[in-house]
Amino acid sequence: MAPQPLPDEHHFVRHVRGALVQRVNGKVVGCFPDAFKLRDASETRAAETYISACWLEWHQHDCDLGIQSVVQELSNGRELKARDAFAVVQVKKMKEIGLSRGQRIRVLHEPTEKSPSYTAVRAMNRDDQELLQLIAAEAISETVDLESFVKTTLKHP
Amino acid sequence: MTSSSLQFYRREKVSGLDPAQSLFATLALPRAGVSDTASALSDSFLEILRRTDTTGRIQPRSASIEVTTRKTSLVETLYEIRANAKLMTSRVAMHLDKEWRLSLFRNLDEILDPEAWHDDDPLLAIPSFETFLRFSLFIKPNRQLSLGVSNQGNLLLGWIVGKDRLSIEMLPQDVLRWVLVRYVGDERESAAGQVPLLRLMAVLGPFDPEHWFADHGAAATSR
Repeated sequence: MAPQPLPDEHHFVRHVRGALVQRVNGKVVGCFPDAFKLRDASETRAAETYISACWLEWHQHDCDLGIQSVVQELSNGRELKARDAFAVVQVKKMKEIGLSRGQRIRVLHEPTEKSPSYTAVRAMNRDDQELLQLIAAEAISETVDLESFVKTTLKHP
Repeated sequence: MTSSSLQFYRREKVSGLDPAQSLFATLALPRAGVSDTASALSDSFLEILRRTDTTGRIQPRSASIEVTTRKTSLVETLYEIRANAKLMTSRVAMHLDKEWRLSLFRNLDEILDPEAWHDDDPLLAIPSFETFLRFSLFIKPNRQLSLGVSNQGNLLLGWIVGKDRLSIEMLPQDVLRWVLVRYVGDERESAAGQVPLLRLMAVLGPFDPEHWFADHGAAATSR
């Protein structure tokens, strides 16, 4: 099945490792632009050509429930750490920012067996720092602190 | 605490720093032909460095001390990096605001926490931290900032003031890679660049860097 674009009014959720989460006095205030940066080649992998995410509304239209499902899905394939966070990104805003920088960013649903909501964000210029900062500044509707989210969810299941 | 961890903490500490090497030996200076202002700033900065350079005051250890290159566990590696960074900071602590220094140490503990570490996370590069210390001495920001580590292992600094954002990556040899978004009324401005430390304020000038670096509401603290 060919990759399908996410509807503009929907969101994707990007896992942000702790070192790229911005905190002030312990409180999450956002993400560094590098959270959306395509990684260069290393000894163990090729250079990234797209960034990975999960389609929030594929799970649930309710944000909290959707993030719960995303956390569950991601934890099946990788280890999540307490200081990690999840950036909930608006598809429409992401594409608008891309166009303002001369890039036709595509947000595509590319499910896998292990990750049914897997989403690839393609056609980002890997050297455009301003694009990344604009995404961090304008396209993120919410940055969810994993540790706090888990505590809150467990407290009020 | 496991017995192997106890043995680690009991062993003779070998610093990754060369006590005979000045902390600021690799400071990159502007080339000839720069403006009078840049030259005056450079001279002032160099004077601070000369007064704080502790090369002569640190007694070199015995010649047999070498930085070992043995394979260490993740916990040990992160401990070494954290300890080295704090040691470097302590050498210039008299020129840093006390609250800034304490906040820095807390941030270092957080970003170098083994419990929060992913297997493929890049290690913080000490040359990047050297650049950060010189940045702190030169720019003297007093607004709370966020610290992170880039995909290349360089220290990241971030400020968010309202909707405005400034991020700076500390590269080795006093090179800074910066990117900002600033909203002036309904207008959005964005810019990015890579400059030597000594040129940062001049380059950020049109965007009012004090907007991010200065917290006018912060109380003065003793050092």
